[in-house]
Amino acid sequence: MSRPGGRTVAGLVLAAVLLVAVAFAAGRLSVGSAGAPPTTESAAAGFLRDMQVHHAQAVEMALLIRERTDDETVRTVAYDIAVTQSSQAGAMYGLLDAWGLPQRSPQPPMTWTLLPTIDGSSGGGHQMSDEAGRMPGLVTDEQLAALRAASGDEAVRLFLELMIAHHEGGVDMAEAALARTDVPQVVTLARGIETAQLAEIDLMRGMLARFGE
Amino acid sequence: MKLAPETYTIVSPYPGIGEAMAVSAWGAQLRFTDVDDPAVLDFLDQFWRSPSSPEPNAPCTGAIEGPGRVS
Repeated sequence: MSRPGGRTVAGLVLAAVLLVAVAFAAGRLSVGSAGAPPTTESAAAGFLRDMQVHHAQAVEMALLIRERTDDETVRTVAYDIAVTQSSQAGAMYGLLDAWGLPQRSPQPPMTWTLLPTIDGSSGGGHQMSDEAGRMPGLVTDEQLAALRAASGDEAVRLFLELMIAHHEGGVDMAEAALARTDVPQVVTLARGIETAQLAEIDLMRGMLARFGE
Repeated sequence: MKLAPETYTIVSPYPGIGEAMAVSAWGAQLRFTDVDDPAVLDFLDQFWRSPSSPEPNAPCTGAIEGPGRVS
């Protein structure tokens, strides 16, 4: 159920997030990268594009649950996911832009995971996406519709289940990027995503137990 | 506290800290007794919203309010 004014609050949050994202990107870009910028088919560029899509869905789910529950802990975690992942997506956009690379991917999602790892342990051949070509952890249209239709504790349980899987997929993607790129800004971002989302998975598992699986 | 940036910071009392004050960031902390200690501003330059934290733009606003917050 929507709370009165819920959409307005979400709009304000989103506006604040966009400002933060722009500020963040500007700060990062002034640092610059060592050496030549990554190519459009590099693991770095592929990760930055795919993770923006992945993050955008997490933000959507976080804003949806904020409209559907009064539980302050859930609302706070959702707020954190919405603002931090919007900010990170802004940084990813900014890096591609600074390198003169298009935001549109020239390849299907996760193609960059076919590239060899830096340490040579994986020469490719295993693409990290499902039969439908989706990124790991990405929520289907049907699951998103179910979350939209749900309310109260049922919506919270569904949100937590979907977001835990979403984060697990996000961690897998970050680790796949870390294995395939040494571009400093991308390494910093991927490490941050890995650390933060692993911690949030633990947090959300505890919350799921509280809401009764 | 005038030293603290307007956002992405929380200033509050901490039980048992005594005369000292401390600034904390992800994986880093500085204790000090003089608010004019230049090391405090150096700490902020190095760690405030720094990429050395996993989510440098995780805000301190918008969460559940705890007791005793000064700013």
